[in-house]
This record gives sequence, structure tokens and C-alpha cells, in this order.
Amino acid sequence: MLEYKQYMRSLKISSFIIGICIGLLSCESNSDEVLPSDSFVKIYDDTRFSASYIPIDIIQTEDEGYLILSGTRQESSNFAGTYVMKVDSEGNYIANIRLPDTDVQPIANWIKQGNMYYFVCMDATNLGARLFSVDQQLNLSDPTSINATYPMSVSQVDNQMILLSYDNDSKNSELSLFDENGNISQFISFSIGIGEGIEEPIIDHFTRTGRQFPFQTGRAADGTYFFNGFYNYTLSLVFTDFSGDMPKGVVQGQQDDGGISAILPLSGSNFALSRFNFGDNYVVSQTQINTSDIISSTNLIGNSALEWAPDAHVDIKRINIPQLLDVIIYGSTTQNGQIMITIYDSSTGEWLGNKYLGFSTPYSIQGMIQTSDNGIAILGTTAVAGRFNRICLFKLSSKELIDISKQVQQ
Amino acid sequence: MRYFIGILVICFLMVCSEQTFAQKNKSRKKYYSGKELKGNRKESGSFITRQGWLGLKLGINLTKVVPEKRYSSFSPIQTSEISTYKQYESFNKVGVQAGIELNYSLKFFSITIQPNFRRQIFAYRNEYVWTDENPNNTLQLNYYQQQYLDYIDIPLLLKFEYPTESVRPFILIGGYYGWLVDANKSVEVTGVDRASGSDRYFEKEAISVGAKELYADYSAGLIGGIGLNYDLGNIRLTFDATYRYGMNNISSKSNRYSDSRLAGIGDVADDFKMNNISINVGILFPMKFLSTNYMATE
Repeated sequence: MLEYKQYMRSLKISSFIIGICIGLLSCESNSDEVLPSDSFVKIYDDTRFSASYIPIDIIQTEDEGYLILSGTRQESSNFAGTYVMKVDSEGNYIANIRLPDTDVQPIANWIKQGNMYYFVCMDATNLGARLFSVDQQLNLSDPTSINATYPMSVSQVDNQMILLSYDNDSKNSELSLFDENGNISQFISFSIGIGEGIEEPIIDHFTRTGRQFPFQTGRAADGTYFFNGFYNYTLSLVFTDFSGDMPKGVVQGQQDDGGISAILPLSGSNFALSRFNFGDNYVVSQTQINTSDIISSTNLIGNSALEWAPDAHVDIKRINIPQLLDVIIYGSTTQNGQIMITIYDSSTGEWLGNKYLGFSTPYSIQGMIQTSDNGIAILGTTAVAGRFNRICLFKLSSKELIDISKQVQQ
Repeated sequence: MRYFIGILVICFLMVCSEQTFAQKNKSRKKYYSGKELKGNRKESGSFITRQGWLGLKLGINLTKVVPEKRYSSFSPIQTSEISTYKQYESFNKVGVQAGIELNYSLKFFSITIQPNFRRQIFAYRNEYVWTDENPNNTLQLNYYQQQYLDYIDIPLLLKFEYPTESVRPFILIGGYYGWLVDANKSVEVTGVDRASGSDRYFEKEAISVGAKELYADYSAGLIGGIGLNYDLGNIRLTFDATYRYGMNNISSKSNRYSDSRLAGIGDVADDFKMNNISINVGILFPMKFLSTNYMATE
């Protein structure tokens, strides 16, 4: 009887302790808790053999999803078709719109005004700029025509949009400030130069038979508007306040072989920028530019970015996570086909860290945004199976950004 | 979870001390097991009924993956999402395990802890096809991926024996906790390319990558099984077959997309659990070693 009691007692203790162990086992550690929307990589595959995509820009919507603007290769035209895709907060494909073949050559950037998201593309017939808008469910509104041809780049300035375009009749680069109804409130144009073949690189840009130029528009911290486009025979960064016949200031390139590849106004006359010069790339993580001066882009020395591919597309964003991080992020494409993220301190311009994205198949960057959770979303293209150009999207969490920016301390 | 090993040790010590205490009490009284030994001495529960065993154990295992939430870095824009699902193979890749068994036998059951190194292997495949109206414009790619997960594993089990003479069937029940010490995966890519005008079959060079960071640093779950002990002289041979029911997510949520080499080919780990069948053989030696008073063959 005593043995039986001892047996039962031992069995109970053993079972009890094993039960505790099993209970603990069933509780997963939450130290690994990462939401699927925090960090992901998505490749938007199209099973059609002949399909080819040229991503342009990305914007985050109110529902935490993303709208992606892209061009598509068309068999009947050198101009790229227009394709808009909605993905959810985890990067999963939801829906798309393909615009008619008459609406071509979409340009960066997305612009948000109210509940609508605007983008600009070109009428394939009259080459005029057309403003489209979609809501976050991807319902497309009727387009609005803008009195400009060959649209190159558009960005948001307060409640308006600023468009760089090209007039091939007058051979002028044109800058237009307009509202969501297409009404132009301010306009100025500058000659690209007179002579044979001056506009050829621009036309080649549009037909994608030549170099893709880093056209850009915006407004500096001192209120001066700028565009990066052709002026006076060179690819130049032109400052203007929409008055007079001449630019207020210019950063001249080297015809179409050198110039500014991306620029981000910081504060006052401070800018973060990158430039290219005969295939070489340079990072100027912080510099002062007087918007009333005329200088050469080669005066902005910077650090050589030898890893970047020749004439690589560059995107620069400032990411500010209060109390944690205030950095300038450069995104570009390396010579071996990876997307490279480089982080600099926003106040000193000091290098903080790098990260490489993509492997085995070529990747290149097309756009980058800060997300509502203080991460970044990076839009790019990759050649799936080494041959199919597809849109890809990388999402990095704020924790990953902080980790990358700590490399300088290690 | 990190307290698990401490609890294991406490568990084992408590049961042992319980028995030690019981034995101390028992030493004041005399009970008869009925098993007569040499010289008219009795076994009195000190050897067969309360014996520690220590030995070696090894075997093979087969793994089945139970996906809980599917992930892929490919997000197709036309086909249903099912096309990106991994097709897992079940119980067809042989892994191995080897370790020691520490077994404390009581009268009707044993408590056993079996630290071991174990390698679990599983595989899955994906197939992607690109085509259009022209049937010559077709590319088919097949990815076959094998994962090798190495654990230092500590199962804690209760073993209930059916008391017969030399062959003793038993059942096992308990749990396990394993630390991931290494992980690798290999990717084989084969395909058919018809774009060149004829069917061109190709096989790319396999990619083999370290993948430890892609998986959770532990594996834990329940174990149930059956087996046989066979007393051969002073040693005990043991055979068992167990089923391990995984209870935690094996993939690392934070590092799911961290390996660009794999994400670039669409390979991202699902959330999954692992079930496993293990077959073991072992040889055990008594810890309270024999005096000449006990000779099983005499």
C-alpha cells in the first residue's frame, strides 16, 4: 500500500512538472514578434512572357497600402504604357488599372491632395500632359489636360503641383505651377539652346532609346523653385522665382554627360544631393548652394560613389523618427545589380551605414518613401529568371533603419 | 522559454530526491519483491525497481511540415495566390539523431531525459511558368529546396513499462525542447526554355546557403511513443518509435525576408510547425552498478 502511494505521488509530481514544461512550450516567445507589414520583399510577377514593367513611383495610402505607378513596355509604340497597381500594407497585390494606349509615359511623382492621389502622363497623340487621379480603392477619375507638352517631372508644392515639361516647338524647358483642375497659376520657360541635335537626348529619353535623365522639380527651403532639366545646352539645376527671363541661379552640368542626379532641400541653403559626371557618381551628403549663383556641378565635390552603376537613378529622402533617428537616405543601384541604401546623419552629413537589397537577379531602384510606421518602402525593378522585368517592393522597418545607421559605431 | 532547462533539471532532481527519500524510509523497513537473488538475498526494490540507467541512443527521423500561414516574395498579378504555395513533401527525408539517455526507473514507470543532437530535413518545391499566345514563348522553372535543421534537443519523458521478464514493452509521453545550432538550405533549379525554338532542358548550379537566421532559435513540442526494453545480461537494449508534435513556429518572423539570395527567387519561409517520426535504438547501462549479488544470468 505504501509503495502504491509513493508510486502515485512520484507520478503526480512528474506529470505536474512535465505539464508545466509543456505549458511553457506552448507559449511562444514574443521577442520575435514582427508584423508582416513591418518588413517584406515583394516581386509582382506577371506570367505573360512578353510583359515588361518600368516602375516610376510609389505612395502610401490612408489604409496603409501602397499605390504603385509604372510604365509598361508596348509593342506598338516607343512610349511606355501607363499602369497603376494597388497593394496592401503587407505588399500583397490587390488590383491594377491599365490606362488606354493613348495615355503613355507616366512620370514621377505621386501627389496626394485631399483623399485623391494624382499622377501625370502624356497623351500619345498630341503629347500633352494629362493629370489623372485615383482614390485608395483605385477608382480612376476623368483626366484633366494641362497646357504643357512632353511632361518630365512633377512634384507637390503646398496645395499645388509643379511640372517640368518640354516644348519641342520653341525648344524650351517649361516650369508650370498648377492646381488639381489643371489651371496654371505661374509659368516660366527657358531655352535649352539652339542648334542641330540639341533636343535629341530629350526625345531619346521619352522613347527610352537613350539615357534616362534625372528630371526633377521642387522648392528650396528659401522658397525658390527649382528644376533639374535642360537649360542652355546642359542638364542643369535651375532656380527660379517665376520672374524675369533668366534663371535666378544655375548649377550647370556637362551638357548631357554630367549634372545633378538627385537633390533634396534641407534647411536654409543646405541641400543633400548626388551628381554624375561622365559616368562617375558622387554623393554630396550636405552642401550649401546659393540659389542666386551660377556654379558648375563639379564645384560640388562630394564623395565618390564607385559602387553605383554609371548614371544610376538616385533617390534621396530625409527620415525623421523623433528621438531616434534623423537621417538622409540615399538609394541607388550598384554596378552588380543590387539596390544600395546609404544613410547619412542629417545634421553633419556623416556616413552612418549601408544596406544592399537584392541578389542573384539584377535589381534597380526607382523610388523611395517614408512610411507611416517610420520605415521606408523602396520601389524597384528586377529581372525575374534573369529576363522578365518586374516591379519589386522592399519594405524596411524603422528598427532595421536604426540598425543600419549604427554601423558607424561598430 | 529560457527557464525550460532549469525546470527540466528541477524536475529530474525532484523525482530523484523523492525516490531517495523514499528509499531512506524504505531502508528502515523490509519489503520483499519476491525476486530471490543469489545467496538467498532479495532484490528489495533497490535494483530493478529503482535503478538509474545511462546509455547511448541513435536513430533516424522523418519530418512533416505543417504550414500555418503562407508567405512568398512573389505576388502574382493575374493568377490565384495558390500558385505561389510551396508543395511540401512529408516524411520522406531521412534525418538522424544521436545522444545519451539518462533513465531513472521506478517500479512501474521511468522518468527519462535524452539529450541528443538531431538533424531534421524537409523539402518543398515551387513551379513557375511564363508564357503567352505563342507557345514557343514559354519558360518553366522548378525550384526544389531542401532544409537541414540541426538541434541540440532535450526530451523529457515518462516511460510506462509493462513488467515482464526480459522483454518489456513501454509507452512514452512527454515533451521536448531543442536549440537550433545550425541550419542550411539548398536550392536546385531546373527548367524548360522553349523560347529558343525547341525544348531546352536545363539545370542550374545548386545554391547552398546558411539559413540559421531564417528559423526560430528553438523547437518545442510533445512526444508520444512506444518501444521495447530488452535486458541482455547486465545491459539493456532499447528500441522505440516516437511521434513528435511541434508546438512552436519554426520560422523566424523577424528574419523572414533577410536573405536577399532567397527572397530574390521567391523563397520566403512560411509560418510552420514540424511534426516528426523518430525511430531509435539504444544501449543502457545500470548506474547503481552491480555487485556480485546480482547476476541476471545466474
